[in-house]
Amino acid sequence: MKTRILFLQLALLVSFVAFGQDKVTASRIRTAMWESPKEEFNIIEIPEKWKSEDAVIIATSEERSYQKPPLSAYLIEENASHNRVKILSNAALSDYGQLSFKKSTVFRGITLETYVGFKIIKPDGKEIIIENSEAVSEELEVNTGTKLTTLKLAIPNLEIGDILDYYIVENYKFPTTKYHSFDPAIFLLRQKYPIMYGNIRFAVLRRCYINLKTYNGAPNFEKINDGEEDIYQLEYIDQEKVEPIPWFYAYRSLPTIKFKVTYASSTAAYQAPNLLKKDQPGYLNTSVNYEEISSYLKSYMNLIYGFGSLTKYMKTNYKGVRDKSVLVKEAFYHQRHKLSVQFQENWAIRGNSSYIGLRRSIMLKNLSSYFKKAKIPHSYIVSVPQQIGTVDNLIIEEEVLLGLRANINPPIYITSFTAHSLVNELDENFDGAAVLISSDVSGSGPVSFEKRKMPQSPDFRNQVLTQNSVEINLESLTTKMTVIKSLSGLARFDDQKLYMDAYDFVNEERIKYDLKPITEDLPRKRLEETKKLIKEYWGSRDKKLNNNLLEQTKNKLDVEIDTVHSFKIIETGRSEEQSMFIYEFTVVSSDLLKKAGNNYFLNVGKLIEKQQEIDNEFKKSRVYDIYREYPRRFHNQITIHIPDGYSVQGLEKLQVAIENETGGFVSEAELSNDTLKIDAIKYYSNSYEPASNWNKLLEFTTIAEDFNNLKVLIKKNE
Amino acid sequence: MIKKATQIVFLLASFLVSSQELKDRFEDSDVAFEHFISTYEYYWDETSQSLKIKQTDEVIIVPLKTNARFSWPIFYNDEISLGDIDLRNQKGRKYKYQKVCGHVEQSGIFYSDAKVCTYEMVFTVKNEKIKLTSSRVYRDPRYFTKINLPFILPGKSRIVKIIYPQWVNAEFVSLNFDGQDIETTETISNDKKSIQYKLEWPNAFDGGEKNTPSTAFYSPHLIALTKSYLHPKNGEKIELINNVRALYNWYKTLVSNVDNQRDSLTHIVSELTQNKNSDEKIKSIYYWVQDNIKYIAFEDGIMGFQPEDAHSVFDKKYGDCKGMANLLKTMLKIAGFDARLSWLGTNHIPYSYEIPSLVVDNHMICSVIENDKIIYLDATVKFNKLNYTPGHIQGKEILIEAGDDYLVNEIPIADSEENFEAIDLDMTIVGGTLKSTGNIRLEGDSKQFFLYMYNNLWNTAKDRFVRSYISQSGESDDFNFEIEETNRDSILMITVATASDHLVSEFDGELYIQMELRNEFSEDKINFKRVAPYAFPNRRHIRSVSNLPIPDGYKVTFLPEPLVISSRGYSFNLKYEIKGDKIYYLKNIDIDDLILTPDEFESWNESIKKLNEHYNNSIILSHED
Repeated sequence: MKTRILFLQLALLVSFVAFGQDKVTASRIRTAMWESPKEEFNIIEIPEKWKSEDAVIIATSEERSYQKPPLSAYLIEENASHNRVKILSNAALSDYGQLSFKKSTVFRGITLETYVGFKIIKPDGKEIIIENSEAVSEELEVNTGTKLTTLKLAIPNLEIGDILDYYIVENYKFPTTKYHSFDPAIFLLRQKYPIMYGNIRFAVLRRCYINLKTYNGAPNFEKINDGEEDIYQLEYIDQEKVEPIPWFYAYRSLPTIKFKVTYASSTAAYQAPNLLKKDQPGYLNTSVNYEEISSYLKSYMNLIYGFGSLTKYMKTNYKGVRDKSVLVKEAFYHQRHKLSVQFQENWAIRGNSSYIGLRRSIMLKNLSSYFKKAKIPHSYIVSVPQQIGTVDNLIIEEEVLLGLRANINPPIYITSFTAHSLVNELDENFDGAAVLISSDVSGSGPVSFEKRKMPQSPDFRNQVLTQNSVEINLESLTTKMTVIKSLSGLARFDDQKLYMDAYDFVNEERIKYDLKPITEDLPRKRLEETKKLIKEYWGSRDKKLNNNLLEQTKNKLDVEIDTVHSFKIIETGRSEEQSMFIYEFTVVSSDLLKKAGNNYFLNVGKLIEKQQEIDNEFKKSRVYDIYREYPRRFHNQITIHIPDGYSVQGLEKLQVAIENETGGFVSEAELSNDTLKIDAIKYYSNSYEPASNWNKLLEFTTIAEDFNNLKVLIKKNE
Repeated sequence: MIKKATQIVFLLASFLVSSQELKDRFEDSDVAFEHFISTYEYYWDETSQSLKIKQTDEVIIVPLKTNARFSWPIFYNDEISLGDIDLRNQKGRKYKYQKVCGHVEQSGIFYSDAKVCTYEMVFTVKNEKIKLTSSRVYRDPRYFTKINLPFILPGKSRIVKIIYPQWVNAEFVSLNFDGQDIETTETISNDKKSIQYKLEWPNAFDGGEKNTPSTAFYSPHLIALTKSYLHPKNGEKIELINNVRALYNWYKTLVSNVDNQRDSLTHIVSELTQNKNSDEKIKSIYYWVQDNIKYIAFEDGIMGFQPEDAHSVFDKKYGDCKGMANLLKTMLKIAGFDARLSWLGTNHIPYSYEIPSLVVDNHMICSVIENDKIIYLDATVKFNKLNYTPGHIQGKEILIEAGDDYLVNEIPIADSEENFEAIDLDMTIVGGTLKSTGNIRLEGDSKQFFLYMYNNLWNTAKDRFVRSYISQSGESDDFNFEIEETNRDSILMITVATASDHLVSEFDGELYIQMELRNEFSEDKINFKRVAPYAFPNRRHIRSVSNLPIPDGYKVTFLPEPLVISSRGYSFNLKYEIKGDKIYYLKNIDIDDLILTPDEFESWNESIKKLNEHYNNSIILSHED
């Protein structure tokens, strides 16, 4: 009976409770939580090593139960959370001194029952149970009827040195459907405070499927035989606290558990796109095989309704073209236009982009259908979001990121799906990542997969080249900079989004795809509205752009900016011939030139843009591996015009060269006539570095940080 | 039928107003109102046999951009009940809205009875204007206190109309009306008085910028003083709040409901006070409440004004300002002191007791009268020392209980001897680096703020906080520090040792040195477009002395000119001087007044520009020939 599981009893009891809290259930939960808990929940001492922490989590437990009681018309999801925490500082007292939980309610056909308990254990062992009646309620009512109430409890008499032991149990009843997908969840086994003991348990009954993965050193679940049901439990101990650090992906570095539970009837399990082990409901599924991925992709693609008349377009315009690489590329750019570009003007003036989520899947469906018809062999490429994990840890269908590879010579990759993406462009979730590549999917035969590491783009492919011509005005103490920025690869997307709109690039495709003006063929009222929207959009367009530019420049240079003006796009960076996004602008600042006696200082170090500062504490050592989005390079070519009658001093410090396997910072300065030229390159070679490379990374980032403070003297000639 | 026809005519007339002018004037807004009329009418409620006020709002909202959205908020609480709401489009048809109602979350307040219902309007080509009418009822005239003229939206015509029967004695105090084009019209009929305030083209509240004070400091508004009325049935005069005495009496009524069970506090009081003199006893109790009672703000109906029982706060170890003040008073009384509850407004509101209204007070503390001296004890401010009144209530009027009588005092403003940041640094140049050793001493509000932050941050964040406090920017090269004293009774001393590469530069045998480490206020230029005043968080008195021995073989060839700026509310005084073989850098900065008004922004910005020029300038040393 030691492993008696609270939620099983609960589920049966709740089935007889209509609405409102049930006192018997509440009492049973309290007994289970506080009178016969696991022994770790009775501990009062904390280890010596953690006595100077803000708080120590003595024990924490998360229990999840997903059930379909026999003959019932509802599904039950139950989340039970139990924590026992030693409070050691005012900061932790603030964290745990005020807690909130949802009030039992019925909304949109879902019944929620909440059961809570809070008690304090004083250092002398005295236990004080807090009455929930002390809680105040905050209501939120949407229209009339749906009322969600949060109860807030300020824990009375809680002091530093106390232990707070509390539980919150939420029991949801959902009306039954044939297929119900519960929200995926992800747990980190390390938190803000160190943990002495923790456990996570699952109970899954009757046609509920659970897909679950533990990784990054998280222990595995074990099956506990309770005599009646199978319970899965994971226990962990002795976890240090974790705090936010730079270049850190928590789910890639910390012990992690991700899971998803699905209720499905036997037929629905097979029909819906999922990664379930269809014949094994109730089984804790910790891996997916290639067959399941293949089955998922097949049903996923079957569900997507493709549109866009790609095949017709290709037949009309590329009849007789035998070069398959041309066909693949043209098909991609047609889809980029039809599923994104042609809507951009409307999205811009209406301030929304509601179709973006659909685009990737529809494009893949359309391309694959066309490739099949055109007999272009092709494969799916499966990856997962970079920040969550790798394809080795794939367990939930929501993680799947899909791309295509046209299997021609040379192959063409399609993995990037913005309005400015190009073929053979690997976005950050595919660049350098381990992926699964399917066998040819152009036929109807079975699909197999092969795991492969994609090439990582070199830093220079994702480059920000800044050419900056600087004129200084000694009288007004201002610096005028004429800047040309050329961005390539993945480094261009952010700036394209910030500084370029439909009116800058849609015309590039208007003729090719016969795109009509958005005002054409509209009914009168719609036309009137559209014209108004266009006028309003243009009324604020320049202002918005200038604000973006001013804020971005201010943050990047880390100086106050007086004005920015003369913004102009030179190249949009949307074709293989012109793949760089190039724009120019002029910026004036009074924050770079300072008077120094009869001479002047120019803060040249600021011109290369601010290096991310790393706190001294974090510089000392690094435990966790280092993650950045992608390898990248910042190249600054600065030309400073020295005023007549003045010379410049202090160039020697501008000569720097530090390079290692993680990247480098190299700067050269040269004075020729009245012009000072600085050529500074900083690059990060990889998106991933092991923690052991931390000092190598710091070697050049610290030099770049110091470089930001460098100044030259503009000295009056004698 | 007649009513309906009138309504349509009215609507048509209203909608004839062109929205182009609104668009031209308020180009940054998505929506505006054409007119917004709030009518407050006093009436006798037969059911409850009490005087009430009905507020009726009528507003016509127009989009300034196509497809604009706006959620109109209607606030209420336990003392204000919501009445009818009606939304109609320009054709007079009912507009179907999305409504969301709930409690208002306010920063720093754990729980408040303030609630809001928002009505979402989506404007389309078909739906160009919406007329909203709503009503609310103030159940008790005492809680009918403040009427704002501007709103969160800009608009063309804002009208506030107050109608009250002749048998109601009320006064409406207009504040921040100077410089505003507000037309006031009074009408008296046989049995009613009516006052109308009309403001043309009001801007929206400008509250989004950094350090914006409460709108009460700058936005035109009315304070309603419902002083008394004659009972409409029997003619009896019912006093409400007609002067400070009545305000005090009302507070006293609420306080009389408090049931302080002193017995449960005697043990702790005797433990805290045994073998101590008077000062030590007060200090001991004051500090115990500061340290052991967590401040949690509640603003719940009547409980927004009535303190919680002392023993309850003691048992729970938390309370709001009233609960903490009442606990302090009760404990000090047990210890034999003349302790009294005291009401006041913090520096977040601008009112004084010239206006006898609940709106004047938003805080409660405990005052102790000892040897004819009043000691103000605010236990919500942690780490505050006895005999120092926290900055947020300095200069404010305070209403102190005195049995059936009361006292109104003004809390003195601490001078620079009591509230300062003093920095003393010995600097040397070692190998191209400016090394500084010395100390920073904090007293008054700066010390209290530092100690509060230091003691309430996570352990891992303390170090970063101290560094950023010392450097005032987060920048630090080689930075060591030690906190020597954290006792709230002593001056807090932080010893520092820094080494800064970027403050010394050598060019052609000349040394360029900046002796400024902290650059206070260097980033505090105020946006010239700002409409709202600028509020400093607290008064500051900075005294900094740094000295640098002139290195052997060098002579001083340039010292920046002194900077002397003295303006209303602030002064900057910075200079370099040579005494013997040392260069001294002396910096005195005083912020004496907490509010800068928009007409002062230009001179403030000019001052900051000069301050930065001084900070950025260098002293120059050359080799002696």
